[in-house]
Amino acid sequence: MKIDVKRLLPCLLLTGWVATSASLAGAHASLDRAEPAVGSAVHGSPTELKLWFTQRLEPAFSKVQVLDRSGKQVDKGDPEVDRAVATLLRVSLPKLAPGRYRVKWRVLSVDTHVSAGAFTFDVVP
Amino acid sequence: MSTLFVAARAVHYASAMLLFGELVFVIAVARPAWSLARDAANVDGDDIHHRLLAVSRWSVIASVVSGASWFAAEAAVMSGMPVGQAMNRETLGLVVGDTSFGHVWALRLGLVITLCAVLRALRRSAGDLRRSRLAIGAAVVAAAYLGSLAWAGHAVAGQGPDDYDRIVADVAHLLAAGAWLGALPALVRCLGAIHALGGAAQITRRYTNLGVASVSVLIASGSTNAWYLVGDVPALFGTDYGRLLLAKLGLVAAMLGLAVANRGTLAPRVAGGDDRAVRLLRRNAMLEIAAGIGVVIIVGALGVTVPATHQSPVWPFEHTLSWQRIQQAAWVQLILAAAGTVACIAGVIVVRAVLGRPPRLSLAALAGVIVPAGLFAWLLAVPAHPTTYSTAPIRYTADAVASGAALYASHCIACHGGDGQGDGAAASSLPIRPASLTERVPNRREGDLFWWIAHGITGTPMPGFESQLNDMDIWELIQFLDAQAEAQNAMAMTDRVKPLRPVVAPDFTFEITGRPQESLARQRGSRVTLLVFYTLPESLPRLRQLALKERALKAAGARVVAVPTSASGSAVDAEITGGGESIFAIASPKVADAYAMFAGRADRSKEGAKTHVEFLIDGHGYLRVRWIGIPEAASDRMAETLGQIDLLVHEPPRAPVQWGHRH
Repeated sequence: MKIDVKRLLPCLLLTGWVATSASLAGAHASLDRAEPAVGSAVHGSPTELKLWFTQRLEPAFSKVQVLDRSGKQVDKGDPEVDRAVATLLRVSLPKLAPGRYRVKWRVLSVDTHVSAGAFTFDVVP
Repeated sequence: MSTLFVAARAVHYASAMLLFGELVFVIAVARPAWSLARDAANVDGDDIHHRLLAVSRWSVIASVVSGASWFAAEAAVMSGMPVGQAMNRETLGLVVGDTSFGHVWALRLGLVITLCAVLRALRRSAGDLRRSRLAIGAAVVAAAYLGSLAWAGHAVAGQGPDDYDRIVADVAHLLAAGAWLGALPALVRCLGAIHALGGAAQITRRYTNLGVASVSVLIASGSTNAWYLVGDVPALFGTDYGRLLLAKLGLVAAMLGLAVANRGTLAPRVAGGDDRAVRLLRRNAMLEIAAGIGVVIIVGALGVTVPATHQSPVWPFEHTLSWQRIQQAAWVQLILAAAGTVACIAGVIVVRAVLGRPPRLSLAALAGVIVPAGLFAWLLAVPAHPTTYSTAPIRYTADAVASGAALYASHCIACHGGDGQGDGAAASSLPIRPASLTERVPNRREGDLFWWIAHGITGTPMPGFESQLNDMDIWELIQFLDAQAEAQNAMAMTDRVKPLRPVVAPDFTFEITGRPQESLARQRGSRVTLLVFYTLPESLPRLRQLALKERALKAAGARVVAVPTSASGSAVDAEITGGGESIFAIASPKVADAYAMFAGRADRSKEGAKTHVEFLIDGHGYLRVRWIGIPEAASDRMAETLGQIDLLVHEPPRAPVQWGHRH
């Protein structure tokens, strides 16, 4: 079987791409947006906190907590990944008093990468 | 702990590749070669056959042990607990049962058990036909075992049709690597054991063909994945992940160099009956194996390194290449186009020469590549800083712009002036006048702006502010500078839709009573937004009109959002309703402050003169139409408004504002 060098050339000119097949874009779920939005002030207490991520999540290891100023957990402790939208993580909230609240999230994306983060939002009367 | 994880991954990849490669070698290289060389004396096919398959036994054991370690380490990472603690029934059960990784791993355990059974049958079998069928069966199972590693990686986490491309490319890449690297040890053992040169020539020829086919697939599959990476060159040099990838590229290039030498120089000599060439070929193959081990270790390390897009790249060089310098000069672009063509043609000549048998190097052609490359580097080089490719951690929002405005007023206005034209009070005493910010800022990378604000610009009176402003302050200041430049464009906005340079509308969150929090960015793609900044009591008649006509406006494709410019606004909504949705939104006072910049007033240093302003924001997030002031009684503003909304709704689609950010 003779190899035709002319046909090989275009392939070989792309030699530079060989290594990058491991993909620089190696996925990692980062926070796309939230409701209430990151750093925003919301009038009246929201019934749930929703977080949208850039990758699909594994429900078994994706968690979120909402803490008040003193560090006490105030959410209802039922974080779940939406069945229809695998990039949405939500947790329900009771009636929140006005003040600043801190959200701490830790999620596992389907490609086995873990990411975590935090942000605050304010509840104003 | 992480070193052990890397080691487990590397051993697992290597053993899976070996399992597949050995079988491919037996089926595609060794058996056909032996059946041709059978008549030659001293070729003990059965002995080599058994030696090859003995390696498989060790590969299976290594693969199972490393696979179990990988699983344990993964369970620890997923649960966040140390490895010891993670080894409990509940956690492991969750990993196996409820994660995609766990499902894939369970499947692969099944595959390796099947492979063991087929290999045992193969070892005990007799007769060529049965053996070759079992060998092919084993190769298929081994291919599934190796290829399924693609499902434990990044290719599966995306969404949409792009996903399939990447999975296919990943599987092809793994199999091609297995066929090339995994078969090398078998080649080395064969060449060492063979005495009849007829066998060596056949084996060398067949393996070379296999190598060429594998490398072609490696390059094609690699470039498919690389297609998703265009624009990430800064990450290649600026992150640990990128640099590891470069190291892998270096090792692979070295392997390719050896392979080219084998194919071009040594293989013909082996075919010609040169004994020494066989030994050299064997030595080269062993060097390739050594480099291949390095590649597999790097691949293992890449899996546990923070991926490039999760980090802001830190540019390590003093310069970078940018088209920005030559944008105006047409003659420079022509020279570069000519140089590029010469370099491409010379490159093709160089590659053809290197791939010849024997390989040659044409110095003239090489110069034809290096000289144009040098020209490119010289013409396109611009100074760069570590933060040049950093991206802002915050979006272009009204909050950020307003905070940035406050910072600008206290730190920058003295020299740069209220409008950024370099006409501040202190500017006249400076040896070099500040340039016009509104002209310069849009053409500079935000990472460069960050560096200049933090560290100043050498050779100019611009000082560094890193002792007075923290990172977030500087990013907010940059959002303000962007807004300042956009405000300049906004001066051309009128009360009619025009094809003008689009002005991006800063995002903000707002609430309408009875509804959850919303943001401006979420309106894009669906409707035109009529954003009204009102004052009381002057705006009341117009607000009543809008509230009454809310349904008509909605039918026309617009959403009305009315935001107060002063704190007394919230009393309004109770009185005014048209029976439709409420138009009265509560938003941070910073929103009105930020949008005041786009109100077209030349003198912006006056303390935010509060007037009634209305904007139409199109479905893509751009400010398009602006009405300043309360409509006069005689004018039919409602008809005008509906008319402009209609024009925007029926416009041809254009690229929406890029709201993307890196966490």
